[in-house]
Order: sequence, then C-alpha cells, then structure tokens
Amino acid sequence: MPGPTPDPVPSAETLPARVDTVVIGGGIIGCCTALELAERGFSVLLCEKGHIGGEQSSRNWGWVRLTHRDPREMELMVESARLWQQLDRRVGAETGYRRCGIAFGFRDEAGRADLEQWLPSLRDYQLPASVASPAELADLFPGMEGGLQGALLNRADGRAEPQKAAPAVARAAQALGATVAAGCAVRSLDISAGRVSGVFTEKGRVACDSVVVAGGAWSRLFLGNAGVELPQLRLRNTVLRTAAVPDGPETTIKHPDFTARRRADGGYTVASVLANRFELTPDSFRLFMKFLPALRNEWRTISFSVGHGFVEAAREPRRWGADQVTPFERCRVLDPDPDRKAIDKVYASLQRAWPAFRGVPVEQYWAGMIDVTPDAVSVISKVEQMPGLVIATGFSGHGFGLGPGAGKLAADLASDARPFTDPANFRLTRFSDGTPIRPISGVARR
Amino acid sequence: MTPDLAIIGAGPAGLGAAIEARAAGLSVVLVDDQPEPGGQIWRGAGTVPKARRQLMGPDYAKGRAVIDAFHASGAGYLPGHVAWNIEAEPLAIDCAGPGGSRRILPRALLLATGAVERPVPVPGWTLPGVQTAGGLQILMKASGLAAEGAVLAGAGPLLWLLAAQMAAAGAPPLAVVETLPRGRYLGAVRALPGAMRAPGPLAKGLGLIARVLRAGVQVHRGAAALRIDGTDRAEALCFRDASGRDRRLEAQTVGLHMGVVPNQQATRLLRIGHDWDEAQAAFLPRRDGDLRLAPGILMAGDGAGIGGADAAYLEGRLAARLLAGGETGGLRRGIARARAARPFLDRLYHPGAALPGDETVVCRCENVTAGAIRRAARDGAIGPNQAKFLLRAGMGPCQGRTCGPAVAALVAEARGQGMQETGYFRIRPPLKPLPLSVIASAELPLPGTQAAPP
Repeated sequence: MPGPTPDPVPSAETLPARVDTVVIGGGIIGCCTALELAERGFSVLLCEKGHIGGEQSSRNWGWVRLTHRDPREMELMVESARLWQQLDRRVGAETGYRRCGIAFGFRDEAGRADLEQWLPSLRDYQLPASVASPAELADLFPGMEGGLQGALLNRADGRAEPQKAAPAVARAAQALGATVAAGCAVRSLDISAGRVSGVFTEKGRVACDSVVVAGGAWSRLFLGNAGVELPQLRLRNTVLRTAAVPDGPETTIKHPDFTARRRADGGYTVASVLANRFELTPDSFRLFMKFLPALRNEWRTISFSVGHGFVEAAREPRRWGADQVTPFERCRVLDPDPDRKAIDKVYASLQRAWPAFRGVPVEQYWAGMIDVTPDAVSVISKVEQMPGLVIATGFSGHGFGLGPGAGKLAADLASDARPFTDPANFRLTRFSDGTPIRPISGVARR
Repeated sequence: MTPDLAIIGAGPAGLGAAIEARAAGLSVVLVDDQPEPGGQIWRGAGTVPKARRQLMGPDYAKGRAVIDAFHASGAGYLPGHVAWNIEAEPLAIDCAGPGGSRRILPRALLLATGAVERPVPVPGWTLPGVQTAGGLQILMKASGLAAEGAVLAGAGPLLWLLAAQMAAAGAPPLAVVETLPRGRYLGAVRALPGAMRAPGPLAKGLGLIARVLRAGVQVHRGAAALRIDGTDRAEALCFRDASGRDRRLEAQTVGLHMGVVPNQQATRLLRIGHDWDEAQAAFLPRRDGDLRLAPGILMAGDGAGIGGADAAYLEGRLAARLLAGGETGGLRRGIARARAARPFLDRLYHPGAALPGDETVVCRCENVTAGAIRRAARDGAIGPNQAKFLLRAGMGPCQGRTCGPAVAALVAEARGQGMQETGYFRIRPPLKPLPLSVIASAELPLPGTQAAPP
C-alpha cells in the first residue's frame, strides 16, 4: 500500500561536477540542511534515492511539539519552533505550521504525576504549559468522552503538514541554487588522504568538501559500508487518515488510547504508540545490548514481529563498491505494510470516545519506519575519524518537529561554522566512549 | 561557494546589508577577519558584559540588536577569514581562514571594508606606549582595559568620545591635547546650518566635551608641533600651546588621532578609480548614485567616504535593497539625515597641510623617514609607487595600509603637485600577509587565472 503523496519537487537531470556539500537523503532533515547551506552561499547537491519526503518525512504524525522533549533536545527544539514560525515566509510556500496546541491527556493520578514532571523543564524555557481541567478539555474537544481527568496542555506546541513541508523546503533550496537530484542514490563516499573528497552516486562521481548523511532509516546501512558504526534500529509505526470532520477540534489530542491531529484537508491523522512494532532483524540481535535500556523503558508499548523483513534484511549486502547496485537502488521508497489490525483498534477507541468521529470513513492507511537510537536522541555529529563527514540521523520519531533546527546545526557542522547549540549531546561517540546511555523521553512515550 | 551576495566586512554596513538581503530571500555569505561581528565600531558588542556595553555608550550598545538580527538572519558567516584577493571579471574572492583558503564566486559583491585611522607621523610615534586612539578604544571594547594617566592628542570626534569613555571607566586621561588651529571653530560655523537639520551628533559631541571637562581632564586647545619624548618607551608628550609656550606632559601612554579615512586596499586592488576629496582630505573610490563601483560590485559605509556608523548601516541596507529590488526612497532620505553633520565635522576636523619633519619615520614597517621620501621624490619619484620601489615604503606587513596616505602627501609636497596627480600605492594580492601553506593549499585556480565554473 503506497504512503501519502508528498508535493512534487522538480529534479535535476545532470549533476554538478563539484559542490561544497553533498546532502544524502531528501527528508525533512536533509532538505532543511540543504536550505540552510544554500542560504549561506554554499553550493549544495541534495541526493535522494527515491523522491523528496517519500519516507518518514511524509508519513509521520505531523506534530511540532516542545512538550515531552528529552532535555538534551530542548535548545534544538526551541530554535526549531522559532524557525517553523518563519518557515512559510522563508520558503515562500505553505507548510501548514500552526500553533494549535497539544493536550496530553491523563486518566488517573499516576498519569497526572507522569505528565506533571515535564512542567518545570517547559517553564525553564518560558513555554506556556499548564494542566488543563476536564472543563477546559470539554471546551477544546467538544463531545469527547473517554474518561480524561485532565491534560498537560502546551499552546506553543503545533502541527505542520508532512506531505508539504520537506518538498517546500527543497524547492526553496533550489531557488537559491541548490541542485536536487531525486532518483539518485549515493552509493559510497570518496575518501582521499583520510578525508571526504566526493561521493559516488549511481549517476557518477561528484567532488565535494563535506557530506551530510541524513538518510533516516537507511543511515546505518550507508555508514556501515563506509566503516562507521551507527547503532540504529527501525521501528514501524502505522497511521491512518480520516475524511474531513466538520467542526473538528483545532488542538491536537493525545489520549492514552489514541492521538488525533487535524490536517489541512480537514481530516485527521490518527495514530498511537500502540501501533508501533519493532521489526526483528539480524541487527536487532547485533545491537541488543546497546538498546537494552530503551527496551526496558518501553517494552510494554512495543510489540515485536518477525516477518519477511527478517529474511530480506539477512540477505541484504552490508558492503559494496561504488560500481555495484546498492540496496538503496533496489528499494527506492521504504513502504512497510501498515498494521491494519492495530490501527483499526486505535480508531475504534477514538470513535467510542468521541461521537464526532463516528461514521467518518478512513481515507488511507500507511506505515513508516522510525529510525531509533539507543537513547532516543538523534545523532548530529561530525565523524572524528573521517573529516568532512557529518551525520544527521536517528531522530527516533522526533525528526519532523526538530527538522529546521537540526538542519541548521548540521549546516553549522558541515561548514565549520560555530554551532548555534552545544552539539555534544548529539555526538556519535557517546555510544562508544562509555557515556551511560539513558533514554529520557523515549521513542513511543510521547 | 556560490552565493547571490558576498559581503566583505562585518561592521554596520556589512551587517545591515546581510540582514536586508536575507530578508529579501538572497543567499548571503559575509567574510570578516575578526572573530565576532561588529567591525571596529561595534567590536565585541554582541558578547561583552552588559556593564561594559553601557559604559561604552548608547551608540555602541545599539550594535547588540543589529548583531543579534544578523545571527538570526541565516546569512553565511566566515569569521576569522581574511579576504586576501578579489577579482572582478568574473567575480571571485579568495579568503583564508583556519581551515585554509576558500574561493567564493558570488553573483554580486558588497565591499563594506570601512575606514582606517589616518597615520599621525610625529617624532616619537613609533615608541612603545604610543598608540592610535582607535587602538586604545579597541582595548576597552575587546578586553575592558583602560590605560591610566594617558594623554590623548590630535583632532577628531573619536578623541572626545574615547576621553569620555575612559572617564566613565574610572580612568580619565590626564589630558586632551587638541591640534586644531585657532579660528577653526569659527570657520566651521558656515556649515552649521546644514548640520542643524539633524542636530543629534552635534548635541552628542558637546555632551562628550562637557563630560570630559567635568571629569577634571586638562584640555589644551590650539596645540602644535607634537612630539613624543622617550628613550625605550614613551615618557612624555611635548607640544607648543596656543600661547606659543612649549609644554611637556609626562605620560606612559599616548593616544594619537587625526580622524579616519576610507580603507582603500580593496578598491585599489580592484583598480577602481579614486578621486582626491579635499573636504575629507582623502581618496574616495568612484561610486555611482546606486552605490556601484563596477558591474556587480557595490560599496557601502565609510569605505566610500566617511559618514559614520548610522549612515553606514543604512547604506548597507540600501545596497541590499538595490540588489534585491524594492523601494529605496526612505533609506536614501535616512542616509542624507545621518550625514547632515558631516560637512561641519569635515571642516572642523580637517587635518590641514602640516607634514612631518625629515627625521620622522613615516613607514613603520620598513623604517623609512619623511626625509628619505622627500629626497626620493626630488630625485624623480613621481608617485608613491616609485617611492616604494626605491625605499620599500609600504612593503611591510601592513602592505601600505598605515603609511599610504602620508607617503602620497609627502611625494605631492616635494614635487609641488596635487594629490590626484600623485596617486596612491598600486595594491596587489595578498591584501594581508599569508602563510605560504595557505597559498599552497588554496582552492584552485590561483588568482589571476580562470575561475572554476560554479
């Protein structure tokens, strides 16, 4: 089943011989990195094996939230929220960003206590978060039942349209002279004298000073071939979208049993962490010890499955040369099967709790692969042993909202500018230098 | 790099242009040799503690907001990068930074290279302890250091501003020795009506002088024949006062100042035509009404004629507006207002025609005296370049940035010819000395050869 269709982006027919920076991956992170660099006057080539925003960047829930953020991500997210506010003007297109607020509902005192612990960190950043009473919730979500005792409400949280944002950013980068090449996988890095000197794409070599790997769920495979170990697993999340709901709520709701986010087309994107599924692959066992703390926190909300993906992944080559067809060319767009049973159950809970959704048909189901790191914090990092290589990946389900800030930081690193925020929390070496690896917000517990 | 606009210089003009160009959606990279934005006038204004910002006064403090807006603009920024070569056809800039030398191929170039202090070659000016007033002010801005018991000598608004700032910091200078000839104040009155269109700067200037007097600083007006005495370092400033008496002020630190002139290095390197401007006593690059020096090359700020920080900031914005398209009337009117007091100040603080005596060193880097330059001119050197060939004046580390105006003036005097006819040093890359390793590892092609396709 194909996923949602992102807005089209024209693709370059020919590649430049040389650029300052090659960005690998046309998702929200890669597009924002390319735009930042183009605005700063760098020549950029953005290579995408499929089409712009074709994978998780158009398949995510479309939340832009400051709440429930790992403290290590807060500065990055505050800057991202600022950039989201200016994004439409900056790219000259509509990305659907609205400060609609998100309400994180709770049903009991334990739920309240769990959510209230986020308040102090939000207040540190002067964010308008408060605990909303059932009466306030009734105003925000008229007709919703479902036994909520209240909610953590942050009116600075927002939403944007995943099918529009990355393409709009890519087109803005193009307008500033960046080359966007879709259907053009990068096979491997060209290394000379110990540093990045170019990339080998399926359409030939392009010389460059730096490379940003923003390959989402594919980054581990690409970097592994370059001899760089990135611990990263894939988590499959299923989403559905409904037909338009007349007079539906503006504010995004996170109920323990479901979430619903209003879309620009008047329908809702319905999702839940209950529809998460860890695909067991050979990597799951290779990385089992590294991910143990994450799994210990979240095992209740995640189910595991061994499907044909296990066999496929086992057959996938992990090393190849620049003249070989790579896994990236064999799978242009990662389009996992949605878990219909799980997401239908979520939608049924929503309809039970909320009469307004009864009789509203489901327009589309899709699934996407979330790329997860052991501490559920992204890697935005130079690679010490390979000057010129920058990684921006592993966003663990937080990437859409973080996109603009992450792109800015990745651009800072790729151009040797002073990073606008301390990049230490996002460094790759934290997984190997003995730093205790602790997930704080987690992948699923949002 | 292939930006829509490359800017050289992160002072008010460069920052104003970067902010305006980014708001109009142009891609921008700004190259600057300092580690932080602000140029000389707002040096450190983005990062110094609030107390020091306030101490340096409101004109300095307002740099903070501009610097913040620049950081938020999304413009590319290469701090600590020396633009050591600029080519016009096609446009190319080579700049050297910590990571080596990088070549920028922009669609348009804005020079915002600002001003330099006019050299003040008087006997003893090369002794340790003698600095320019601008140098003393940089110490205050960047490091919070103010010399105690200093003597400031020369002429120009900066002298009074610095004295007031030192007084506010608790280290007022011992004396301000002003070298304006008698009658200069009266002579400048003719330009006063124009200046009164925007009287802000004049009121500010009078306020500064009042504050300096209140701080108990000795003020000597109408001084002449400045000389610094000392064996290993500065010990005293000597001068002849208005009544003709010889005076001697003991001081370890002497700050000299005779106003500022456009920094001509970049415009001379680009072979832009220059005209001698008698009012500012400086060479000004030839620029059209739309700030254009040559196709695709614009200049904003003091580099095209001294106008001050407010005018420079607005000119930077105007340059970006002219490139991006848009209404320019408001900015042009603002620039005219910001420059309204300039004719008055130029007249009041004109450096006059006094030139150093034969014994005085003019080119500090190569230790060339005024007498040697005069002799070379009488022996047939028709311009500063011949003086350079014969004497190495202008061939040291500063590449003529410091001594250029003085060498040209001496040649003109010795030959009895005008400044326009005398001309200036022929400036070549590199604009500043570079380690050979930077040139060896520079992005190809090297200057003078064909530029690479973008």
